[in-house]
Amino acid sequence: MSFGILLLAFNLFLATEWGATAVSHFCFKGSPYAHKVRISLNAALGDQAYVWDECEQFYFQATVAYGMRKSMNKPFNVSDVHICAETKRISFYFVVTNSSDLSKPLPKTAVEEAIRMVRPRFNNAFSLDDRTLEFLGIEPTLAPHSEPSVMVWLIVFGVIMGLIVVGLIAITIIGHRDKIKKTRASKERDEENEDKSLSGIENGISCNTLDGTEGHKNEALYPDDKLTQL
Amino acid sequence: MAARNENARVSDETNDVLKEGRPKWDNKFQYILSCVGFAVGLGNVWRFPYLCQAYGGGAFLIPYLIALVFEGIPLLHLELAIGQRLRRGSFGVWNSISPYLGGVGIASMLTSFLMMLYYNTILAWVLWYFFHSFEEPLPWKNCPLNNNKTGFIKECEESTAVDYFWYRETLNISPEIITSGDRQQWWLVLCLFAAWLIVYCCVLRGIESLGKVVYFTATFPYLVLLILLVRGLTLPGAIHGLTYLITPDLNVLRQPRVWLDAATQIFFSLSLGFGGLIAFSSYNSPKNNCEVDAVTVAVINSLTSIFASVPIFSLLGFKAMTAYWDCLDKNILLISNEFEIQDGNVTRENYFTWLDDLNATHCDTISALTLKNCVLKDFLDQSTSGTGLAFIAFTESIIRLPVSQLWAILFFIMLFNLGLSSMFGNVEGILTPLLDLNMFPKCVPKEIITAIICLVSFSIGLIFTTTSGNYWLTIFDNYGTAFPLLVIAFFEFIGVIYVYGINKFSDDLEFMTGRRPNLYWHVTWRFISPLLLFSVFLAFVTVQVQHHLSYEAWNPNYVEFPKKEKKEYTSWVEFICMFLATLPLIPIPLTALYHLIRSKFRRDSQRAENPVDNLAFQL
Repeated sequence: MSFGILLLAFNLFLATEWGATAVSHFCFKGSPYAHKVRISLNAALGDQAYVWDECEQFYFQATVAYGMRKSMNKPFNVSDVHICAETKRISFYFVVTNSSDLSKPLPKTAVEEAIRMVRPRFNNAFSLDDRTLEFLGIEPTLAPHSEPSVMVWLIVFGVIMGLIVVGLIAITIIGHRDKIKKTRASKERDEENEDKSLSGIENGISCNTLDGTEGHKNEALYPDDKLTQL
Repeated sequence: MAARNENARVSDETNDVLKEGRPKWDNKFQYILSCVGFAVGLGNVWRFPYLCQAYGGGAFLIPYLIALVFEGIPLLHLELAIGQRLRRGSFGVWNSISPYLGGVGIASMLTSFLMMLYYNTILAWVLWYFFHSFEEPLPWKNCPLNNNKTGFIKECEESTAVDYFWYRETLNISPEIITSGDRQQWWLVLCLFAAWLIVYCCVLRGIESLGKVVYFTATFPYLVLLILLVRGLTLPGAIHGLTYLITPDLNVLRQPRVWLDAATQIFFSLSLGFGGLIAFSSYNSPKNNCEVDAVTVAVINSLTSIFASVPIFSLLGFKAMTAYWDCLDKNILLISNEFEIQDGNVTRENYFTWLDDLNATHCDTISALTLKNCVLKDFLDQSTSGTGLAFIAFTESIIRLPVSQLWAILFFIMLFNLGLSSMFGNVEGILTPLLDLNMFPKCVPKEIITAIICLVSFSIGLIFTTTSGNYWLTIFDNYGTAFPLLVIAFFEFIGVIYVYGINKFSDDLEFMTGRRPNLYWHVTWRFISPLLLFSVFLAFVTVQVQHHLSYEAWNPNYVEFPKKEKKEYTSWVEFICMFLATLPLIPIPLTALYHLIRSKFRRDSQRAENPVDNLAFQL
């Protein structure tokens, strides 16, 4: 009985060991099944950066498993995500294996699809962004470029043009009104002058014509030193 | 005795003047502001700081101030005095001095007209950027995505987002000056129309409306410059920019090119020879101290240039600093990734020590990495002038500031006001002589004439809204205005000092200002300034002739893109350059010839000076 238990334990131990070595077959630096992940905590968070420890690693595995579940609709577990070759940079490789068969790593394309699908949730989970949480080989899809630009500048243009046109109309109206006022004022002045002149007629020559504004200067009458010197 | 007779005649003319009905400034301040606004233009902001930095910083001030004292101030005083005395626009003034010199006035008008055509296009560009400054984020911050949304547009990736926005989305520039299918760009047409409408609105009633608008347009740029100064000085890298600007390098004064550039800069900066200053001063009352005005305007103009360099170069220093940091950051990332160093260990401060250590140990890997050589001076050296400064360099530094929309809006309103007040001078330089000439029947009001001028300029200005518009604008700028102005200024000196007569002019000045011009004015007007102008003209022509008629084109298919491709003008474009350079000058000999021929056929052109002629009997 105890021997049986020992044998079972030994088998399990062998199985896990064998599983581990099996995984190390395909989780290494140049593996065709492994994706490299690079995390820049200090660049993203500065002082608020958390420490990348085993718990964070576990969280990462869990998120990848979540992604795989969402994408392939198969019950993936945390234990299906294997991490290796960790460095101080905070970079490592990971491989996802089929839940049923530990020796079968999933092809890169399947993993890529899953990661792409849940990328925003992934970033949010770690308070990082596309630049600071890099999956080498999986380019982030660029944010769709918002195109309200045409509207905004035309709106401002319309506002400015409206103001100018209103200003133009205002200036024209004010100018017109001023002109009317001026002609009315000068007409009144002319009438006053006429009244004055009517009272001043004696010999038929109105005083206005005598001191008219236009006239020719009789230069002979100006004291010209050239002439008076003898 | 003759002088007293003259004074009597002049005082009678003053009485006539007051009854003339010629519009006049509401107060002296409006007049000074208009002159200052005309003189202070875009060049003070984007040409002077560049020249200062390119020619050894503080050392450039020496030729600049010499040119100001011996060339700028004398000519400015001359123009203001002659306009105030003869109370006519440019054509009327020169015609009064001598009918043979009437061509100088026409030349001024033509040069003003050519300037008006393209200057408002620059204002249209400023408006375009201003309209876009309300967007979040600023459109020149990021490259737009390409059609499949897999990456950015190739042209934008290879250059920068700022370049792309300027060359592609604003100008939609063609790879060469003559292209088939050259269309007007509708957005530029709209902006040009808006710019002309604003100009029309302001000059509608002549100096009555202009005088009031100028309170804002001439003073607001100073406020913005002050704000930018305060903001700029607090930015990192500002000190580097300023030291780069100020560091005097006296060796540079040995190059003759420096003196030529200083002289031309003063000359063009003060907007001399356009006839605009003559027009402005013709609306003054005769008894006005034009001497003090001239010195004031010139000094304010130069001080503005110097003052404007400080915020400009603080911001350019900031831009260089951030570009330098970006360069360092890229290198740091490459190294951290390659050597798996913990993120945050290699910083900007210890980057170089790390680099040296790694170079010692892993030399091959380092050289395999494409590390850029980051030197701050290289980024500072990338300074430009002209539209490149405003629309590329400055916009790039703005996007890195927090609340960039505010800075963009302020900056572009400032640029617009600077250009607008210069446009006023140009428009008045054409309007005033036209109105004085009574070319239009009396029933046509001034507003309609102004509208016709604006409309014609707008229509011709549509050339500059095509895809090759920028190239044509450069041609107009280089050949259409620079060259004729020097000739016109030279004739102005000769005309006033030698044809009108320095004595008569001194009498006029005594009447207007209360004292005769002193030795400085006599010496500069008679000898120094005309000689200086003549030598500047010769040097200018020599330099231009040596410099092959070529231009730099923005060609995305060029091998060395984003560097600009150097192309030569085709022969008929060269012909247009020559034509533009000489067109404004043609009226000068033509008018002289015309009057010569006319006087030969008329015997009684001299009215006998009969002191006893009783003109009152001529009814």
